[in-house]
Amino acid sequence: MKRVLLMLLTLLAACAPQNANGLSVTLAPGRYSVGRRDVLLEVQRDGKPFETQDLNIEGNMTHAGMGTVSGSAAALGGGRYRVKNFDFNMSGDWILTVSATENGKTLTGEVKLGVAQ
Amino acid sequence: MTASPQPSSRWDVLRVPLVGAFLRWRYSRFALQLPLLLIAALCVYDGLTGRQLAPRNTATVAVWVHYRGLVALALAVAGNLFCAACPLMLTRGPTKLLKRFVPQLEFPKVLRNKYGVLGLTLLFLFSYEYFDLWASPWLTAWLILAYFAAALLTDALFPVGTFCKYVCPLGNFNFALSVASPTQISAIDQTVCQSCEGKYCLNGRVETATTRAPLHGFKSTHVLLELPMVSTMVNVSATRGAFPGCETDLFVPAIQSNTDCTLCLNCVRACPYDNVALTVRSPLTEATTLRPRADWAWFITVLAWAGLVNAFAMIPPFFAVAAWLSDLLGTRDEALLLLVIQGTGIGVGALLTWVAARGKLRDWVGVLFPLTLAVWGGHYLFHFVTGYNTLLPNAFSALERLGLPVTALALPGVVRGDGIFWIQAVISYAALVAAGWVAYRKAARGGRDARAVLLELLPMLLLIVFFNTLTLLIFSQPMQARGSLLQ
Ligand code: SF4
Ligand code: SF4
Ligand SMILES: [Cu+2]
Repeated sequence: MKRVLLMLLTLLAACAPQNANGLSVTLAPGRYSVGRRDVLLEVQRDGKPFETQDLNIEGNMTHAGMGTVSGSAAALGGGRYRVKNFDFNMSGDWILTVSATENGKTLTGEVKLGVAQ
Repeated sequence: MTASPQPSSRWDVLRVPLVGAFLRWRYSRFALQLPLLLIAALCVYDGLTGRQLAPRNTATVAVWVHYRGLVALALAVAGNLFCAACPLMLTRGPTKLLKRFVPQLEFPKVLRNKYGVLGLTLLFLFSYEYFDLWASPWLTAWLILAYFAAALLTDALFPVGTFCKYVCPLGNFNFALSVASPTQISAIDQTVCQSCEGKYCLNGRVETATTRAPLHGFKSTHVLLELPMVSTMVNVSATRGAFPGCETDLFVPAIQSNTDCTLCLNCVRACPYDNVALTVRSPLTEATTLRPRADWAWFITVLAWAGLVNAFAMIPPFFAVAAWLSDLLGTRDEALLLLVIQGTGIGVGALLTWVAARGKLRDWVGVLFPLTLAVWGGHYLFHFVTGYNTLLPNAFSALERLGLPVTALALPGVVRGDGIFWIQAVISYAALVAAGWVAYRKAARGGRDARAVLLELLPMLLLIVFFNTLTLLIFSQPMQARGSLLQ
């Protein structure tokens, strides 16, 4: 019975609410390790570079119980942004969420990255 | 029936002012369950509709940080408080209703042991890693709902208490760790029990102005044989009403172990002679005296090693092993790799234990009690210490979405938790000493000479040191949380 339940759960997982809303984020290739690091991001909206002067970035780990790290990104033009000294203070999987407002609407996007020891 | 050591002179929690009065109060359990039910409801709401990021959702934080941390803490310092407050038991009302419409079945005899729940526990531990339950608010919410449904269905079809005793992995996890808890239900005076006509603690009691009788007749024949009458006319001063007995079929004067005791305190309320105590005992009492049934001995053994494997899955070497295994087997099938790692860890551990016990697992399993509590407790402590302050901000934002007038709280920054290694080390070493002592007590049984004791003791000591070394090695590594087994 539990097996059936789990199969159901996996099916249901497909319809879990989505976090990203409007933005897609890609990360400049590179390895990240614990410490304060600069992060280079590329943000797109509907396949086109997304430009804003006010992009917020928030880092969470994938495990519950971990706090949050936030920062802000400086626009480099062409939908590219640099986050300076982002505090990856623990190794493991991180999710960076970027958000910006456009016409009073909050747009968000996510990207996952691994932080090595 | 063997008499448990006379506890009347011992400290009885039920007789502590205020605490005792609260625990004896008829609705004390409900008073504990209600807040947990509300929290569970909030978890389901937030898990299904809230932000799908584990650290930012009430479901994942409450279940994987607070619930687990507090369960372990309560078991170590008090007892099986979670089962006592378990909101799943609030399905009792709907269960009763459902029972009128569904067939009443006997729980199959072949399933009346802990092997079934052992299988479910392993399945849960696999799913926990495979589906990254700890990372998914959505799945965590469904897990909560599935639990409620399973409890409701099981106890509607089968006698109430079946779910707790034979199905619930959480409850049995609690039972297994509570063997090292410092409290236990026991009879105050065995002679009162011998002359007790209704064995109400087991059978329940229904009381009117002039009669007193077991609630649903007598449950088992061994009790019946001792009884001349089924119902007696008595002058009662005790409260009137119906008081259910032990749902997991424990008989207070015979209790030697916390196994299967949900601390529901039904027995306390059902006993008309006020003869039930919640005695404070040494956490090692059971480890030295209990000789559990084989199924239970295996359950605890598996749980001990599963505790190591579960903690191992959070440190970098786990991913290194997964990568190495992936090359070796030439597969990137995560389910398979996970099965091999978990299966090997738990299987080899259980086998080693069996070998160290020279096949007499039931005699020696007590040695694992403190070690099991330490490995699970130490791991959960890590999550609790690093994340205890992340629940309120998440709960508040969920409540805010529900339209409640609460002010948002900022989520605190990431805490690495390296600083708690020394606490984990203290816990592990305390468990090492405790396990060694238990092993010594077992080896020294029957007045053997020193050489014989040492020979008897040695394999178990090696196992204890091995287990403790692994525990410390794991705790000393930086904890990580990674969803993908392979890079
Ligand atoms: S604990 Fe109370 S109800 Fe149970 S056998 Fe003893 S006297 Fe009877
Ligand atoms: S009724 Fe049974 S489960 Fe409840 S507290 Fe008493 S012995 Fe434990
Ligand atoms: Cu963990």
